Amino acid sequence: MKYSKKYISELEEQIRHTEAINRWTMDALDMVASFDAPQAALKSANVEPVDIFTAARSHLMRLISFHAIAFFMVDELSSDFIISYCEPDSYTQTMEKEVDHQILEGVFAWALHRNRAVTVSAKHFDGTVMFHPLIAHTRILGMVVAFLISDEISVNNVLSNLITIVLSNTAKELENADLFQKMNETNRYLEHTVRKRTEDLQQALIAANTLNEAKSRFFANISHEIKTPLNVILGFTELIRDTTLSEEQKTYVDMIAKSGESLLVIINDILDFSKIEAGRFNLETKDFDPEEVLYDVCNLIQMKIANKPIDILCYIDETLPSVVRGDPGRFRQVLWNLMDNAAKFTERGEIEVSISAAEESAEGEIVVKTTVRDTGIGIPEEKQSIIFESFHQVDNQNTRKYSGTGLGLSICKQLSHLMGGDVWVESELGKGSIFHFKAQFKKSLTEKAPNQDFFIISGAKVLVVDGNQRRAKLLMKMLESAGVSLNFVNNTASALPELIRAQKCCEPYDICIIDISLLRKKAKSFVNSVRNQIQKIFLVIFGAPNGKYIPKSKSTLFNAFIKTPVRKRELLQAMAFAMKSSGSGDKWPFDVIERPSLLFSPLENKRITKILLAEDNPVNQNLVRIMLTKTGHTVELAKNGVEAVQKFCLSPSSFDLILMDIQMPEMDGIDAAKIIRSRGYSDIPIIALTASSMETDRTQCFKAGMNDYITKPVRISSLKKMVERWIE
Amino acid sequence: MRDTDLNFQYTEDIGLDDNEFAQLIQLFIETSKVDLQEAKKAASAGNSQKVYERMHSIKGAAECLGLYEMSKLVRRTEIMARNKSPKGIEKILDSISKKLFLLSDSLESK
Repeated sequence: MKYSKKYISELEEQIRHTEAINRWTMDALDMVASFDAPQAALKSANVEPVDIFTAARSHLMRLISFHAIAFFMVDELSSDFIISYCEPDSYTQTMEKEVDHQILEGVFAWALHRNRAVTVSAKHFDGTVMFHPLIAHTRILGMVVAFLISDEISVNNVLSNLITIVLSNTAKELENADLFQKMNETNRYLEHTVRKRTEDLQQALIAANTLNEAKSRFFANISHEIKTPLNVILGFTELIRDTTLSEEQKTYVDMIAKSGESLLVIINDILDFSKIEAGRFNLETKDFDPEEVLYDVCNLIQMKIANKPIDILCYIDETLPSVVRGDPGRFRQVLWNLMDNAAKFTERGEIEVSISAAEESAEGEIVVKTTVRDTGIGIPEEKQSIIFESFHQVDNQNTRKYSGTGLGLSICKQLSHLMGGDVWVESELGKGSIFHFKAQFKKSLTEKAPNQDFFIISGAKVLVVDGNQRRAKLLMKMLESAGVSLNFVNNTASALPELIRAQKCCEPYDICIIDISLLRKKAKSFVNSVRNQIQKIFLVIFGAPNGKYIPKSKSTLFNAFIKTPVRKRELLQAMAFAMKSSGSGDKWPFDVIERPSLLFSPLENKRITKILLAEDNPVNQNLVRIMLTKTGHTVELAKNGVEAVQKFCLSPSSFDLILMDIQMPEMDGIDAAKIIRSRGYSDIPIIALTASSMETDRTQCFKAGMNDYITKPVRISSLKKMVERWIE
Repeated sequence: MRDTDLNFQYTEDIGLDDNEFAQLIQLFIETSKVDLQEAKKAASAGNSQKVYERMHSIKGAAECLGLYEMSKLVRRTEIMARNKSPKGIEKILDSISKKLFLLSDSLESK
């Protein structure tokens, strides 16, 4: 079969056409596929509308060759359609005219309504005009208007759909670009606002800090100014007390004194507080014994609570070093505050304080941890954090019942921070509180010599008789570390049978330590029955001194008395004393182991020094002479200033020091010192003995050329220290 | 604690033993008796300065021995003498004498 040439060429033409359509379709599909690629959205981020218009035009031109394309966009202010893009540019006016015409014809509105390509014969162009709205979500962004020669669109559904796809995508891009732009603007505005606000706040902070500092400085200064006259008021109140007063006047004076003292405490608190706030608080760094500080505080608290049925228990952990480097005054202040609080809010039971050390770092830092546990009223949970804030007490009504500024704990907190630690509380309402205090100290280079008493009492057998189990445990813990073998009973009735039993088993006790409150009036009968049935035993009692001492009569019953809170050192000392004298008999002199510093070691290897003592009063003469002799010095007496000058000048080289009373008949100490100095004896130390601690008196002493002063009544410990300091 | 209850505990504080303390108290009683005698004479002669000097001497010693009740009483007299207000001074001087007697009495019974 033969095909005509025409037929073949027609077929070839059809194939070419189909191929062309196929290419176009592929191309169009490619283009559409690329629309939803993720970068399309990103691309619109920083894109100007004109770029989107250009891109949309080129997409449309790939589908069909328009003669001219224009984008009419909705103006947000006027809601009018304004021509924003036209290609070629020369058709701008024609386009506007055409649009105006088609608006009147209703075609424009119809196109908007249909949301797809609408073509009609153009009025101002020789061909057709296509309208296609740009709609994003529900918002109309604008209208695409295009001229074309033929009217393919209305007959080709695929083409029409493709145009809709391209322009929907364009609308999305335009909206994205718009949103991005708005977002950018908002961001820029926000950044600006934040910057401005930060600047304002910084300014305000600087102003507030300056003001706060000024306030703290003011408080620090004013507190100091208030303190001076207040001290004068207190001083004179004390003097008035000693004059003849009626009972009524006495009450008034007592009230002045009491109020003045509370005011002084408050001012001291405020002073500390403002110093810390103003950053003018400097901590001292020196060697001190934390145990010593703690016992010192305990002793004072013991006196405060003398009228309450409260036991003070002290536990010093083995980990605590004997010497650390830091600020003892501030350490003491925090301890005092915590203990004082415990005493204030506890009516009965116990206050237990434990101290230990931990976390010794390579740099020689030691963390000392103290806990103060009480059986007081406790603190409700919601108030536990605010009590460390300034001017807070648990209950405002408490301010009346329990005096205080409400600054104490706040100061504690801040001091503990200064010491590299913290203060916090655990508490249960009605059961009591536990305050924790941590402070960091440096390791001291010096270390106290190990306690010799350890070696002496090691191996002794001890029976502890104590009604308070916790305290008994503490006592036993202290003794255990000294290598003592221990047993415990909680009442005196079981003590004797236990002592007898041990004696029968040939394991007799060496020492029996008894809680004095268990004995009361039975002391004599108890001791008698012990002494009658036990061959050899040392009886040591302990208890609160309550401001009084154990009556002398009891001293014959017992071998030693240790006051509570029991100190390990004192306990060991008392026991060592017992063990040392055990060879000579079954008793040693009753001794109140109270001030270990007063137990002197003989002054070995020390040069004998000669002191000239000028004092008119024979009692004081003898008192000081005895004290000096006891501490290893020889004394030459002078009855007044004249005699002192004469005796010294006769043989100046034979004296090492002069102790000079200030008020003496004929010639007082001041004049005598002046004369000695005026004769060229500048090396001999002259120490004044003054009755008053008035600043003016001291100044007078120093002006007269004296080196130091000591106030009466003289204590042997302070006298000893003073003399040693000046002789060395 | 009253002065007449001799506070031997105080010896602990100042670092003396009981014997030494007793000696000093004895010395105090003797010298104070003389001082008091002179003060009484001076008071009846209207010599406040002399009363003041004698009282000052007793006071210093009493303080040093921990005889606080005594020293308070003496201090009152001292202030009265300094202020030249002799009214009632002889009565107080008498009570000081009484206190001294009680002191020596309790010292002997120890």
